[in-house]
Amino acid sequence: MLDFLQALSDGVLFGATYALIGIGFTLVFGVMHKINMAYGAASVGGAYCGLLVLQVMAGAPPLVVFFCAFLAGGLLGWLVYLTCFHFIPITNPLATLMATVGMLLLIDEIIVHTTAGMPMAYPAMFDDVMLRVGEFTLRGDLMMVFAVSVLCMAGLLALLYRTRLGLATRAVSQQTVAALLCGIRVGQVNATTFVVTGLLGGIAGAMIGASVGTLSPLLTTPLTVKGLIVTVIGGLGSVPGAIIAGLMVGGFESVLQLYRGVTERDLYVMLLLFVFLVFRPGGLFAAKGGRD
Amino acid sequence: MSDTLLEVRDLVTAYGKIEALKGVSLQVKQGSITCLLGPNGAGKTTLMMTIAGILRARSGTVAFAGREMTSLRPHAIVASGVALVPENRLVFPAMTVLDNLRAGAYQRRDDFAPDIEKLFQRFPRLKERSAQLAGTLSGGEQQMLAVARALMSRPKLLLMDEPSLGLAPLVVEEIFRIITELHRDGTTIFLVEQNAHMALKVAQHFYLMEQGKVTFSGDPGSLAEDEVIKRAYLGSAK
Repeated sequence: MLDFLQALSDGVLFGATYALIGIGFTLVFGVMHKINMAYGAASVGGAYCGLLVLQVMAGAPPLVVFFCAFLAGGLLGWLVYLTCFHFIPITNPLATLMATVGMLLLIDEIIVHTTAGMPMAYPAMFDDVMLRVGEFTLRGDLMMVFAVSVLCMAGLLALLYRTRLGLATRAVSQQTVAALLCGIRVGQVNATTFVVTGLLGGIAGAMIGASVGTLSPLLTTPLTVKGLIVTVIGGLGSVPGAIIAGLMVGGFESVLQLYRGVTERDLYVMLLLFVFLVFRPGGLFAAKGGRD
Repeated sequence: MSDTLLEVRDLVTAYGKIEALKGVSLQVKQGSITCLLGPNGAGKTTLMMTIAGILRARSGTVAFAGREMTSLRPHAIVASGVALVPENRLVFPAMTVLDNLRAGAYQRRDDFAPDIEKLFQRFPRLKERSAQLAGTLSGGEQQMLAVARALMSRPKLLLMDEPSLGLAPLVVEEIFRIITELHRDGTTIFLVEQNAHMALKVAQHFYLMEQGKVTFSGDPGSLAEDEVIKRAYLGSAK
């Protein structure tokens, strides 16, 4: 029982990073009704860019690395928008999808070539802190990951529900034509959405690096798949759905890893997706009143 | 013709190879209610969407207050003082009534709280439901919201695309009462309607449109109402 609780709590804490990735997919889908396949790779790419700080300033505090990953993620998000969406006909559903798949491969290759495919150590914070309640422990670095992720989510929700930009973003995602008629520049909102999700992705990538201890190009594919699973389980276009689904998938895979081992783990995550697709295809929070 | 607020000339808009507007010309006079009638598929909504900049014209011009605006993007058209209440209302369903109004005022940098107060006096139902999600409103309330949202940009010209569509007769009467009130307060209104009877009661000028072309232009009374209604619903037999 204790093992179960331990695995569950570790998984849920780590699941906060999945939630961030899920939010990135879901937000772009909500606003543009497009899937950005490059998102997972761009997030890992952002995390790698954070490491560049250590090249310039050896021994820089982890917080600086995380912040640079955050900024680099935003920049990468904007680049993905520019290369895969801005100049590509939006009306063709496959065009942007294929463009982002190409971008996914490109980012992946760039990472492999610049790091020679070797995993790189990633700094963490509070990794020597351990909170004990009897046999039950809470890892300091995982709590840091969780806290940072929650902070980012809170920031995003504040942006969406308290600012003029958030109002425009919600308007575009719910009724694009009406948003145009209100004088909202939809292209600008789209671009900004990519930057904002990119920022979140950079942080998510950095948090994954921090909790695993290393970054590797092998991360991009599973992260993309997990992100998409979280998005579908949460309900396409639903930010609260992505948060809950992210924590859920994190806890679920951790518990399954405990009982069935790391090799079988992802199989069960896929099975969870399958169960959702069959019994609740709209996800936890099927987006209501969307364009479709 | 200095009192012409909106001038549409030889406007052609096409979906692929199919021309929905085949050279439409019409004018809306400053301070008037001008009405556009016609059967389904005549191109009325296409015309409205082209004026608002959502659809691109293939040729022809739209001039507002003497200024060419055919090539302008929607946000620039809103900024120049034209607002469209779209067909089927298109409120933001998962946003509150208040947020819908805020979205309507998106381009305004001044304080628009007094405008919301004023609109709440005009539409007391919206005030009661200001914190409710727009998708939960009735059809009539959503129509009021769509009108109020368009008014938030303080338009000089209000385009309305079938505001009475699918509404109960009492609600239709209320919508038309609001239209006359807005007109009395100085807003120029260009109205697309299927309800020819009500439209002819409020309009000073009307156009008939069939198959992408304007086929009649005149004052209410210049054509017998039953003839207007026949042509508005069925098109003229040729």
